[in-house]
Amino acid sequence: MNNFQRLFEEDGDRYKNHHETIRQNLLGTLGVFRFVGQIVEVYIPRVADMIVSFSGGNAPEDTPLPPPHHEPPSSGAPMGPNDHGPVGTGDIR
Amino acid sequence: METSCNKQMKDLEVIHVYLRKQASNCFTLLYDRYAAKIFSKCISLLKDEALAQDATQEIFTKIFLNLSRFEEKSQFSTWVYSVTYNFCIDYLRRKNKQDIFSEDIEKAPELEDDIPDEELLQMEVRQLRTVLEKMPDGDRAILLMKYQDEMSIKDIADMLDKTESAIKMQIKRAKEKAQRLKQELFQGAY
Repeated sequence: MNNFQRLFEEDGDRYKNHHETIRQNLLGTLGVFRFVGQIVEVYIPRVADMIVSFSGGNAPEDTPLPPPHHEPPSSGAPMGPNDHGPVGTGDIR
Repeated sequence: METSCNKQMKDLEVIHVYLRKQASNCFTLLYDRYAAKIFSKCISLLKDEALAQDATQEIFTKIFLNLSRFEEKSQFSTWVYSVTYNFCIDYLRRKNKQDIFSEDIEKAPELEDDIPDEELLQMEVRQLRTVLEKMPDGDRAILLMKYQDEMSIKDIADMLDKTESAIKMQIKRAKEKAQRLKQELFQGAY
């Protein structure tokens, strides 16, 4: 190790107290970037679809509406006239 | 398949896991390996603690946001140092409003009477620190690349977008300045 490299090592040890501050700031910054990235990832395709719809285009077929939400039956009974529960063992997976 | 990083892993393995999982302990591992080195490099180049702290933070942000672009043609540490040098040199160029590496060295003649490396390398660390602090930004940067990081002339030339002969000439001049400064500052010590 030459004198330049020893200087480098000494400086590394000398300023150790800065490293935790930098780490915390950095984690905050990267957390914000990740959050913004997730927002963009989720909402930009939807905004693009909306613009297409407003400009007279068709809504894309690959983004189906979510299925209607049903409350689970409290007693295990069928929920409606067309919902009779599993017919046989083949229906149970 | 691994789910997080551990201290035994090499840099490249840590990077691959980080890119797949975004695991915070991979980030911490890389940070712990390089924080002191980057900070130390920044303080040598920028000569200001607060600036070096901001620069280290920005350099790490750049590194983590561009990890997927690291092409693995060189060692990760080489890539990290080149990002660090580029960042600090850009900062110094903006601050000085001109290139910190003089233009006349582009037409450098063949080298003669070069100071032997030993004279520079035998300087005490305390003296070297003072001499480097007094040197112009470009000269200091080029000496650090050559003697601290042991970069080849070609690598320095590629990084700074200069010719190899220009780099050799700048190193020669920087060594002369360092020698002169040492004599001026520490003459009484001998």
